[in-house]
Amino acid sequence: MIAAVAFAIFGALLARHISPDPEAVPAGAVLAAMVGWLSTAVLRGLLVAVAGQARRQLGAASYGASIRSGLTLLVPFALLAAVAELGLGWHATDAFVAAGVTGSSAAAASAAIRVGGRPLPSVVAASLWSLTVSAGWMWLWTLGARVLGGAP
Amino acid sequence: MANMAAPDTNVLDADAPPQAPRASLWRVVCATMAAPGEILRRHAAALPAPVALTVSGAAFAIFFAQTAIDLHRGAAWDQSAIVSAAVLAGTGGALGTVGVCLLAVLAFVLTRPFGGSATLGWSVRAFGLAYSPTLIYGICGLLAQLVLGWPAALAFGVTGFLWALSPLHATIAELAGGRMWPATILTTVIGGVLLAAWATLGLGGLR
Repeated sequence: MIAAVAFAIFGALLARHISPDPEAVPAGAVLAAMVGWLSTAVLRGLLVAVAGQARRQLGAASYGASIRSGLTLLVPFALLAAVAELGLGWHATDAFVAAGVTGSSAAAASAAIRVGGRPLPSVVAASLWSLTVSAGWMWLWTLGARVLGGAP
Repeated sequence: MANMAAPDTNVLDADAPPQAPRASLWRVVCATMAAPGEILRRHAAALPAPVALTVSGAAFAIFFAQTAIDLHRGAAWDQSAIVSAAVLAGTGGALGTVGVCLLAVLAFVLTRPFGGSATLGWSVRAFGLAYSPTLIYGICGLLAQLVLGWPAALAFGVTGFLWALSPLHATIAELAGGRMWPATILTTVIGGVLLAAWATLGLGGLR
């Protein structure tokens, strides 16, 4: 849930540049929240799938909660992106998204490993996820900009 | 350079997290980029505070120097421009040492109610080492600026600054006894303070 909120902030900030339409910001936020919710659910599923014995010992729900705690790292990136964009007038949200996605996936993997997850599969799963989400995010917003005629 | 055993006789370090054997500074800096939480936990106790703060000091000095070089793009590098850039780099160095040290003390004090076992000395050292990614990005950015002529303050400097949020979060989570929400809030506040400091002192410094 908290990851979806962070993605919604990223989406709202980027939507401001894609379209001058006032409805673009809430639409961007909702779309990004859905992407965030879905993609973090995939990350949790991946990390639970590679957990091995830890999943049986802790249970999938408890193991998933540890992973979610790692994903709270997305929040500082989203809030600082808002400060940079709205307070300082920089257009650098993409840099915050890339660093936030990579950092939070590593934190989620680290949280999973701390409660007994297998280190190498967890790190590989989180790295593949962050690469895919970062690339997918860029593609999605470039596509959105092309369709709506704005700058990504 | 003090031996790692020396600071641990200090009352501040009486119950520091378990120490790793002393590693070289560069090995710690590179490893902090890859696995920040675990590396900080293992090595922050093994390096003296001045060495750890050298990492953050150098990182911010390079970041501010990049800003000065970017802001002078296209203009002649006369003596006043060089002095101005040196002053800005010095300001960054001061922010990276004194500023980061003060923020580490603040984070230590604010996380006391959460019952973490880390010490004040560990907090200062871990904060300094948390800026290892900023230092690596800073060096790469400076090379790109000087050799290839690229603008680097935003592309490398701000990116490096953002990569430091992850080890910073891991450090504050350790101080807060593993509690994520206090760590998340404090990471946001400290990141915001340093970002605003760069915007004011760095970008505003040459206007």
